[in-house]
This record gives sequence, structure tokens and C-alpha cells, in this order.
Amino acid sequence: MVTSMLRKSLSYIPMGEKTIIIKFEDILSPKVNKCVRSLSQIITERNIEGIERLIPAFNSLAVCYNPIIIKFNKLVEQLKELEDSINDERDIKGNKIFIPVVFGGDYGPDLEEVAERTNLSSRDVVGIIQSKPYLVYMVGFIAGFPYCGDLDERLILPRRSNPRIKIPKGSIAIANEQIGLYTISSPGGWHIVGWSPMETFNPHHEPPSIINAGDNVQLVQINSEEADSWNEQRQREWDLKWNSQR
Amino acid sequence: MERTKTKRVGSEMEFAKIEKAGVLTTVQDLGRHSYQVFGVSACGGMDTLALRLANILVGNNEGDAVLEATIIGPHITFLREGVIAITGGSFSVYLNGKPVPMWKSLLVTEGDELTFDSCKYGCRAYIAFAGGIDVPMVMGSRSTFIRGNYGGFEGRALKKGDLIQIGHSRFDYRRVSGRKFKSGDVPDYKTARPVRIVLGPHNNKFTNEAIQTLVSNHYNVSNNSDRMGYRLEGKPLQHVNKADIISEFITPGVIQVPANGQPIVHMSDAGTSGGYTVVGVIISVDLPYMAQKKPGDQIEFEVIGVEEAQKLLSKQEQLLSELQLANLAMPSR
Repeated sequence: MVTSMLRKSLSYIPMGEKTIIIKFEDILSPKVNKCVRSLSQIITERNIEGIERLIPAFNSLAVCYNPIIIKFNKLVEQLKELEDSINDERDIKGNKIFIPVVFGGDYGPDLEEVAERTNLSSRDVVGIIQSKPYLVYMVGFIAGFPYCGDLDERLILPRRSNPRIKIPKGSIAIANEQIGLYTISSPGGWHIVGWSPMETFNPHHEPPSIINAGDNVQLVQINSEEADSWNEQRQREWDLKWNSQR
Repeated sequence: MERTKTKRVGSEMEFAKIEKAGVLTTVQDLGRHSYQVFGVSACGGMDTLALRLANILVGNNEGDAVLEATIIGPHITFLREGVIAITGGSFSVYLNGKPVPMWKSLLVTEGDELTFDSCKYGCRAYIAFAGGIDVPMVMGSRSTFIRGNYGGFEGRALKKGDLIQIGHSRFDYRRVSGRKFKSGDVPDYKTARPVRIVLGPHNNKFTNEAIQTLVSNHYNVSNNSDRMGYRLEGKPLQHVNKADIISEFITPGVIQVPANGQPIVHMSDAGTSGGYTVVGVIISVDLPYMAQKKPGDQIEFEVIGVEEAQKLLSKQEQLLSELQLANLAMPSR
């Protein structure tokens, strides 16, 4: 069961007249994030008329609804009744996804700077990054960017003071306690440490993203020759070897 | 809102050719909101009210794909007979050089040329074609997302020489030709009025003076404004503590305030997550009015309660369904 402290910290705040933000404890924690996903699943199962979609974030859940079907107060009342069922022990199956990454050089132009600023060798930085799987707290930004954590505290750096205008699709980047993958080329202020040839987001696929909130991502180092010659065949072999349980 | 999911039967038809594209002309419908859960921008028309009304005028489903033109409209040649309607901000529109009204469906024939002149107020026009623009659905929508290079016409803004294909119209298009709305049903973009907002989710992270400042001052729409968002300039809003939060879901209409105290209004192409405090959200019925603002325009805000915002939305949707009924009353072909 969920601790009473956590339940007390739940608040229901309107974000305009079509969305309610259910805010959990104001901390970044896998436990809180699990409670968010637990509540999301409970609300889905309850099938409340008027709710259009649920969008989990780090420590909050957005409930998008049609106010012509159900009004704010009425919906909050119904949502509050579900609080007691939140369970951070509940088995919410996330996938484990292995992502091939080539680190440093042109693929990860900020790797050396990260090493310098953290007083580690580039090799150590790479070792630390791939030493454990990361929880996908949420997906967002503009096209399925997975916000993953928690990064080893030795690697924590603030965002770059001067964001890049274009970060290539596939870039693996870190900022604060998070690590993420740029799913489309876009501007960004994170430190780029590597690049993955694996396509995790394709707007023409259904669903578009293979990485979802609640999944775990494990980065696996490959060399630049492997990365440059990556193709569908290699991806199939990779998935067979690493991602076959998906 | 209901989005058209069904693929139309029959072959697509080349209906119009772009001679000049204008500043930014894109294919838009009501967006891909149901994909926000995948972290995907909603996109869709900025002024959804004008978009829906344009579709209703030509007998389409209100969520069919149309052209959204910005500040300078396109020059279009029609390749065969059909019906079109233009809505949105106040543009001077011409068919073969002769002025034609907005907010009225027009019969066009092969060789006709549609041109736009200056925009008097507002900045976006919607051009609907009976039958709807036929481009492939991407993640449940025909809306263009230029940053992602997907959706709409090859994931980009239209350019000279592009051929627009349309689907079959639900009704005999000649029957909808000449249809117009009562003047009271046409949105008023000209009369200056405050943009209404619902406070929150993080209004308690601002000082009381900041909320007072927000509702008692003008804010200017800066040049740094586009379909993703409007950066406003005016008296800065003070945070109690800090401007950063753990990232949360955001949606079009959200007014974020970073540490410099200058509000950013998120619009159709906004991302789905944000890490700055949100002082309030523009109510749905006022977002179309906001969408017609352009750099240099001024904005005033007024706070209302969530219940009132919901009543206003119900009222608007009631009116729209009445206008839609005129379509349903027509015999389908």
C-alpha cells in the first residue's frame, strides 16, 4: 500500500478547462513515478465517462477530459475515490529495451568535456553510463523524447549554457540526473555523449514509439564501424539477441 | 472533437495548384491530440474555430484538412470545378481579380485564380475545399509538423507548383455553394477584448503582485512568435521562489513563465512537456482569438473560474452543432 504521506500530497489542479493535473509529491523518485503509473492504470480500468486520455509525467498525471460530458468538480470527486487504490508495489510491466550506442568522437561531441568537468576519463564516463538500466519516467518534448534516470551522481551536470541549434536524431545526451535520446533532429541544451543508429521513433509506425513511460532502457556500447553499417538486417539481429522479449 | 478517420472512397483528385505559397501555408486539421501520450506535439490549426467553420461552410466534416495561410495568403489556380470557403482573420480575397467575401462558400471552376491581398486584422486564413484535402494520415491526423518533417504535404509548408488533391465531398458541392453564416455567428477578431484564462497549475508559485500585474497590464506579442508559441513582452512576473519545476504535461494555451518573468504562450505546435511554472491557461473559446494575434499586437488577460470556462465551451459547442445540422439536413450524394 501507498504511504499515507504520499496520499496527503496529492492535489487536483485545473490546467485550463479540459485538463486536470494530479500532482504527487514534489520529488524526482522512481517510487513516486510508479505511483503515477499505478493511478493511470487504475483510472483506465475504471473507465470514467468523459476522460479522453491520461498522460503520465515524472510526478504528475494529466487527465484530459471533455467538460461537456463531465464537469471539473464532479470528475475530481470521482478521481479522489481512487486514491486509496494507488499501489507502488503493483506489478506494472514495462519493457526492457537495449539500445546500441557509439560513444564519443563525432557521435558524442560533449563526451570529453563531460569527462573533464567530472574529473573522470572518457572511458570511465562511458562505463558509468552503461552500468545500469534507466527508468523511462516520461516521454515528451515534441516527438517521443524519453526522459530517463537516474544518472549516476558523478555525472550530474547542469544543461549547457548555450543550447545547440541542431542536435542530430539518435543522439544520446545527459543533463542533471537525466539521460535521453533525441528522436528527431531538434534544438537542445543537453550534453551529447553518444549516438544510436537504432530508430526508436517513427511517425509512420503504429505505435510511433518503441520506448514508453515505465520501460527500462539499457545502453550497450558498439563501435563506429558497427554504427555506420547499421541496417535493417543488423537491427533484426540486435532485436533477436537483446530485445526478443518485447 | 470528432476527427475524420475514415479513408475516403474513390480516387483522389488534383483540385488546385499553388502558384505562390505566401509566407507560411500548411495543411492542418484538428491535430493529433490522442498521440500526446507518446510525447508527440498535437499540431493542428491555430484558430480551430475558423478551421471548423470553413469546413462546415463547404459541407465537410468539421475536422477535415484545410489550408492555413499566414499573414500573406497563397495564389492558387483551380484545376476543376468545386466549392471553397475562406475564413479566419480579415484578408482581402479575390477570385480572378474580383473581390469575394470571406465566410461564404464559393463555386470555382477550372482556371479560376484565387489571390490574397493585405491582411487588415488577424493573421491566419483558412481555405477549405469541399471534399477536404487528401494527404496521408500520420498519427491520426493530416496536420503538418514542420519541425518533425512529417504530416500534411510531405511534412513541409506548401511551395510553388504543389498540387493539392481533395477527396470526394459528402454532398453535391453545388448545393453548398453560396452558403454563409449570420453575421452574429462569425467570430469577431477586431474588437479588442481581454483573453480569458484559468489560473494554475502553478499560480501559487507566483507572488500575489505577479497575478495582479498579469491582469492589469498589456503584453506585446514579440517577433519571436510562431505556431509553437508566442513570446510576450511586458512587466515581468515575479516568482515566490524559483521558475523551474519538475517537467509536467503541457498543452496549447498554457502560459509558462521562466525566470525572466516574461510569459510564453504555447500554441498548436507546442511540445507535450515543460519545466517552467505555468501561471494560467487560455480558455478554449479564446484560443482562436489569441491565434489571430501577430507580432506587435497587444494582449490583455482576464481571470475566470474553471466552471465559467466550461460553460462558455458548452455554449460554443452548442452553436457549432446547430451549424453542423445544416450539413446533416442535406441529402448525401
